[in-house]
Amino acid sequence: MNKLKEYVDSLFRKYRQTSKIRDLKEEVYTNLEAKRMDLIAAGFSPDEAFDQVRNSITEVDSLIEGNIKIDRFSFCRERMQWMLISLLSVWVITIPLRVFYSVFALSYLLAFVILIAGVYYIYFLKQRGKQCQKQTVYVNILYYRKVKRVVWVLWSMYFLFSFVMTTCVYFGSNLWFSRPVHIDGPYALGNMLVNYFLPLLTIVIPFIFGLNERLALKYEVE
Amino acid sequence: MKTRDRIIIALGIIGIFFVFATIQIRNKQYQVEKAYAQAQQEVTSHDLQSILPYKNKYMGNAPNNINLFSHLPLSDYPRNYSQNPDTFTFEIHFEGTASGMGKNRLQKEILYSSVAGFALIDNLQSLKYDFTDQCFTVRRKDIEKQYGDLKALLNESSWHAMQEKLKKTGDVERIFTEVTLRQKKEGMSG
Amino acid sequence: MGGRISSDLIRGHIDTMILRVLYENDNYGYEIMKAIYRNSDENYDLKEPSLYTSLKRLESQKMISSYWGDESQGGRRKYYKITPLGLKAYHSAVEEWNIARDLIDKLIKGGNCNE
Repeated sequence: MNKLKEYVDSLFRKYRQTSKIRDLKEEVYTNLEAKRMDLIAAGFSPDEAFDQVRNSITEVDSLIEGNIKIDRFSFCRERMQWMLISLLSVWVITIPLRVFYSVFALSYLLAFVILIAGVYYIYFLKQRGKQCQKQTVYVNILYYRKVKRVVWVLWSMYFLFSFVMTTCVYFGSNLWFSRPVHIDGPYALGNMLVNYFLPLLTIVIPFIFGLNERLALKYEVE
Repeated sequence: MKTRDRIIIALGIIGIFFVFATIQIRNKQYQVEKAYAQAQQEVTSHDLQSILPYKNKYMGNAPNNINLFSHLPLSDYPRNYSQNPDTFTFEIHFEGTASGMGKNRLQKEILYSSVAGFALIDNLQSLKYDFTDQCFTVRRKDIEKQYGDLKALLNESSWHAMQEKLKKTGDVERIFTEVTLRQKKEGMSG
Repeated sequence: MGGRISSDLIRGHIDTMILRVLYENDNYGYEIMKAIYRNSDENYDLKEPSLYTSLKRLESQKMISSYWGDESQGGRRKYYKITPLGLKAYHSAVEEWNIARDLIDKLIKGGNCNE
């Protein structure tokens, strides 16, 4: 395999080889090869020609469809802030509901996760203080959009499933065997509402995934 | 940036406040429950409502009998049960001694449990309180002689009046000796 | 002309420069760069990243279209062709530039350069 082809391959290594990427790779390669032949015809040695050609393109991130350059620190910071806000909100809601058996463990688990996330956030802010320079990075907005869509679809399926399951548990015997629905007192009613309501709290997961796209556009640079 | 950090801190504080509030509420509830449970071990403050669900026509329903006696003041003593359907007798076998219980308390609780038992279980004729050192048998007809129609007691005011009478030590001692057949067990000193 | 040219001044016109090259005939990336270098009397060298960015943008705006050429030297070349929409955009860009140039001349050279 020739040196130039290897070099071009290395530029595209971190991208999934879709047909679009393959086309772009071929276009870049044939143009560089034409340039290299031109330089050799103009009297440069093959090594000099290769070096010049290689220096003319050192990254392809800006050429990838959907790639945008963002301010990494601001992006990560706001994403972490929203993550903490949504986790904390869910946690606060679960605290008064702890009397219900199904919420108890979840509430403690959330407190634990929030503690770790909070400590990490503070550590992240401290790190930033040390480096104190703007870092930019390329992210792919199309990828974020795709992930967001998939997560929303999965979440909708989960929510629908849990809704149907809860309904079956509480009203199934009534629907199929026409046995009356049996709810003794306010605690049982509350428990039923909690079982319906609890899966709704997981809406923060697709929300957090959806942040990527929104924040990438917000913190786009250049 | 700053606003969101403030929201995070505020939510954290609200969460911690909620946690303490729920702990406080639960402690209070626990204390109320504890006080109620304690009151249930005392004949003069025992709650009639806690035993009414075990009202039954027949003494043959053993789980019901056991539930009933588990909700009566003597329930803090380790025991097991047996019953004799031929003589319509329900027997409670305690693992401790009667003398270790205190004379007045023993008498009050046996009287109260017997009134409750006969009032709630229609065909129960006899109750046997079997301790390791002594055994007391109480008959329905003797209790009825002292308290009249037991069914009429099953309302808050009459029941409460009956409980009030159990506060008088002299009366308790007199009624107790009249209604109980006492047996000393061999080899034991009472 | 001569020496370094402010890339800020040029950047906004790269798309038009490419349309100008494709206005003559269909071409592929490296030849477009060479033509621009030649048209500038070897004063302006368009860099690869800017070339691809412009080509992508023009293609997404339907000002140019692309097709693959024949296999040559181990790969196919991607050729670009100006569309009627691109042609229109080119002409209006030239017109805009004429107006802007006259205006900027007046604004930054002052009265002494008026002819």
